[in-house]
This record gives sequence, C-alpha cells and structure tokens, in this order.
Amino acid sequence: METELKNVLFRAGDRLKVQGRIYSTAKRFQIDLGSSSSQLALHFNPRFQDCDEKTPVLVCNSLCDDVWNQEQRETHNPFQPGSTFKVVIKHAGELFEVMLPDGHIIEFPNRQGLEVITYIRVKGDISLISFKIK
Amino acid sequence: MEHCPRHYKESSQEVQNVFCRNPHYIKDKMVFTVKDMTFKAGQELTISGKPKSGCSLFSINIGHDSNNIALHFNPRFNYQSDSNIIVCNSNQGGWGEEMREHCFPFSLDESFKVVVSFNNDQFYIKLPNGTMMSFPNRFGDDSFKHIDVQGDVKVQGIKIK
Repeated sequence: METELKNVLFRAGDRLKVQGRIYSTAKRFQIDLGSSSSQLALHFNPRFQDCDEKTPVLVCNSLCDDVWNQEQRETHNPFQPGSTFKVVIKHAGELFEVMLPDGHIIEFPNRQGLEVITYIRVKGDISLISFKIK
Repeated sequence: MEHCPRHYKESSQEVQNVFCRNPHYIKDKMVFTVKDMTFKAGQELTISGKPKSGCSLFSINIGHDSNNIALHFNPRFNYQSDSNIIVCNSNQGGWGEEMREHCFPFSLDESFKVVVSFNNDQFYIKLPNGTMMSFPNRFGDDSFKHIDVQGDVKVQGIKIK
C-alpha cells in the first residue's frame, strides 16, 4: 500500500492521524513527512522481521537530497503484525512527536527546521483504514 | 444526462493548457494518491476536504490505476461554461459518457464530506447534504486499488471501512 499527499500544508501544531491494519507477514512500513520524496524531515519506520533486524525496532531518520542522515533507533516497538494500529504525529516546531499505539511518545528533531511539511507518504505492509490531518 | 465526450476531451486539453501556461497552478494543485490498497464492494470510502478559495474544479477518482478510472467524480465550481455542477465519468483508454448532476452542495472554503460505496453494478455517492447519487460501475469490478484526489482542494481525511 502507498498513500502520497502532495502540496499539503502541515504546520507546527498540526496533527496527522493514521489508522491501519498491519499484515500478519509484515516486514515494515513507514510514514514520511517532508517536502518531497527525496527531502524528508521525518521518516518513521517500524520494522518487524526485516532481514537486517533480529528484533522488532522503530527506526526514525531524515533524508536530505536522497541521502540518509543518522538513524535514531528505539527497541520499544508496540506495533503488532496482524493487528490494527493508530499512530498520531504532531509537528511541534523544532521536533516531531510520534504517539505510538500504546500511548508512548517518541520525539525526533526537525533537523532541517522545516516549518511547513508539504509532502506526506504512508507506505509498506499495511492496509489503510484512515488518514486524517487536523 | 448529456452525451458529450468530445466536449470533455476539449475540456481536458484546456486543463493541460492551463497547467502549461501557469506553473503555479501545478504547484498549488493538491494531489492525494492511494496506490495498492483494496477498496472492495460493500465497503465505505469517506473523503473529507475543503476546496480552496480559488478552486475552479476538483475530482475524486477511483479505479485500478491513474489510466483506468471507474469513477471520476468531478465537482465544478466555475469551469468554462459550467458552474456549480457535478460531472461524473469513467476512463479506460478514453472518456466514456458523462453524467451531469445539478445538485451541488459544495462551497469554496467550506469543509465537505463525500461517502462512496459500490457494488458490481453501481457506485453510490452520498453528497455533503445527504443527497445520494449513483453512477454505473461500467467496469463491473468488485475491487479497486487506486484512489486519487486532484485539484485545489485540501484533503483533510480519508477513511475506508
């Protein structure tokens, strides 16, 4: 599944809520926020049975001119293959707050200081139930 | 209902020309695309959004890919000789016969919600004021995997259940 939203205006204070169902055989999915597919302020990437990963992990990173920056890795991954999930991402100006399905919040710095997100993509081994910006 | 695919082609050409003449039009054109997902007969797709103040038309498209559209739902605020009308059509290597609906419960700068469901015979579209309209499912398929929204409209949400 891939959802792409271009020319959106997602500013500090705005929230993106994504609900979906993770395939039982899922390896990974991602929610990306930036100004294009090659400029991402936030790449939020839960991984399950990725061949590179021994245990589930949440990877966050940013992408600048198609080059990845330094990864931030969380071993706390409350996403479960075969189940539904809700994740809320808040643009908090200097950082992004990602509220996980269990209420846990992870933070990722807005490294490029992108005030307005104009590109949003949800992609990977999930089916989309809802997508909402407010 | 009016049979005017030729007129429609000219309209589409005009849209292309507008894009070429005014690059800002492309830049400001909101495009929302969902690929490789399943929208099945019996499910309900809800799309909420808000047409921007300068929006002349927008469209919600459902099909197999961007070239095979079973439902092109196209509210026109003010576009060429059309004002406040909904045009529906399908496209499979060319536009089919247009269907025009004069019930137009859309306003610029005002949020709307459209609910689409279908079976292998018809699409059913619930308009923002609760009015139902239908459009034939000319493909007769019971599953689609492509949804997109185009035009000067801010997409606020999409939901499938």
